[in-house]
Amino acid sequence: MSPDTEPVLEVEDLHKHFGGLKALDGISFCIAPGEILGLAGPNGSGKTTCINAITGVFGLDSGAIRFAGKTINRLPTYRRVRLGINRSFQVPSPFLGLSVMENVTVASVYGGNKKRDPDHILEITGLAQIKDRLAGSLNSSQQKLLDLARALATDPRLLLVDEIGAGLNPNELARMTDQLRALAAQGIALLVVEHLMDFLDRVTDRIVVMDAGKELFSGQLYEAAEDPRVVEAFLGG
Amino acid sequence: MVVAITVLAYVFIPYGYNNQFLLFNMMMYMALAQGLNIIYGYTGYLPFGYVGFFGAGAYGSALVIIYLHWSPFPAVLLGGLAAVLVGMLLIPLFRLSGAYFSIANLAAAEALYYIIANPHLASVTQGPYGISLPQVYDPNAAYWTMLAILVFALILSGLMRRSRFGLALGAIRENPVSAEMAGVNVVRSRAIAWLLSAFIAGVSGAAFGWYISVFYPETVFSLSITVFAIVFVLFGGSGTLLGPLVGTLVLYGAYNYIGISTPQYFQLTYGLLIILLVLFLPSGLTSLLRKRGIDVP
Ligand SMILES: Nc1ncnc2c1ncn2[C@@H]1O[C@H](COP(=O)(O)OP(=O)(O)OP(=O)(O)O)[C@@H](O)[C@H]1O
Ligand SMILES: [Mg+2]
Repeated sequence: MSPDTEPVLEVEDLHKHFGGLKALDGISFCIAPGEILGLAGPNGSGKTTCINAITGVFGLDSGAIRFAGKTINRLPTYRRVRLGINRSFQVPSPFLGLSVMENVTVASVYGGNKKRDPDHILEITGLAQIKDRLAGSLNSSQQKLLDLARALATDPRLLLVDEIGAGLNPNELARMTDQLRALAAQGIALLVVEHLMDFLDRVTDRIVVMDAGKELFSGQLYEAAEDPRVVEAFLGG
Repeated sequence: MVVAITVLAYVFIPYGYNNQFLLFNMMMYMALAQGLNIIYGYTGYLPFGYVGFFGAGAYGSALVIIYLHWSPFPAVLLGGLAAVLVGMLLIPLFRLSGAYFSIANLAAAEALYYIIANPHLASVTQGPYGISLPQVYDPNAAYWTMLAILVFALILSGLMRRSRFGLALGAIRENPVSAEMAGVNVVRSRAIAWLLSAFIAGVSGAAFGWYISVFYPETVFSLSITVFAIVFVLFGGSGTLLGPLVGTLVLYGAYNYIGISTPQYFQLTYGLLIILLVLFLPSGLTSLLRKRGIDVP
């Protein structure tokens, strides 16, 4: 981690409402290259909405998203992807009717400036042995890995992972921890959305806690656990 | 291979079999099924109003033949472009999902039909009185043109299966949001597939109009054209090159056989067949081969 480098991602005062519900209500944060920022918060606090906003799945009401110094609010998703932003989905969303290899190939062909070798990506995500199987035939932890593989195939500089630890067994969780840390060590900035405090504790030290679309806390993870507002949000939520 | 066999068949069968109109229709439905396959099989959108492109092509080319005295070949191409133009106007329909897209597209085709059949526009479109093209009547030339169109459709569809573009379309069909996340420009890719598909229907409609040379709005905007093409694709198996060909060959063949010898049973037989298919063979005939591990082109 190198806190003095320029942040690769800056989000500022994001607002987004769905009907009468304020899903994002002024959240701001930055992530530096190689940094892993944790994003926690009770159910429905806006974590996934944050990722959707950064990746351009839907537009914002107001606020600014800057990536590598450039405002990207209005870019369509595929352009953001080609700039180097990618994500995994809370509910893994591979192309079920395509093979594992094809899933990764599409992303490596269309997704990045630097072409990543799909075989290499499958190797590092541990999917090489099942590359000819249809994605629809994989179990849910394998689908999560495939989601991650598809993201990595676009050669991202910013990776947003949405509850990738949920549902993994302890072994898988330990591997995932190592994998995310290795990615950060290569200079990729990571936003890790997670409910599992234990997992967050192992992959990151700085976290932002959200509640009702707002920042509730920002700082070291161990301090968050002692912060009365955070404790209340989690117990009350 | 598939292309070569198809071409040979249509080149040589006319020497031994003299129902050229049936062969023409067979080619035409194969081309339409292939065109539909490009948009449905590769992106998952099922256009109930596909015949709108066919009609636009037939009328587009007929009107330039009548008013501008174009010769048939450029007129057929222009028919394709007329369909592409209609297709461009309909691109916003892709904001709709699944069934809504299909129905809106049907409504658009009907609207186009009513515009063309409108007696007030008879001075331009001949309205309900129909089109007659005696000056270019030449079924043989139209037959070979249709064969060329079919070959074009087959090559296009085959390239799609093998190309990066085909892979991107497959990804879009499976999950558009993930496809964007893989860096695919979903809006543009879909539009390209859509317009290619429209073009094939347009040139087919134009060649059909040329072949029969007398037609009415209801002839070239007939819903049964869409229904046939859809059923042929579903029966044979969408997303493959062979499926729509086999589907057309078997079902259109059956249609003519049953329809001619025992017309009273035709609708019943055909109806039953469709129900059985949808229930027991939803991914088409070619899926039987694929289940046995045979790779279907
Ligand atoms: N597309 C949408 N349309 C309507 N409401 C939405 C949409 N997406 C999210 N919401 C609502 O916005 C709020 C924030 O949702 P979000 O998914 O961001 O929460 P989250 O923090 O990721 O929760 P969880 O921990 O359960 O995943 C929720 O109340 C949710 O119902
Ligand atoms: Mg969420």
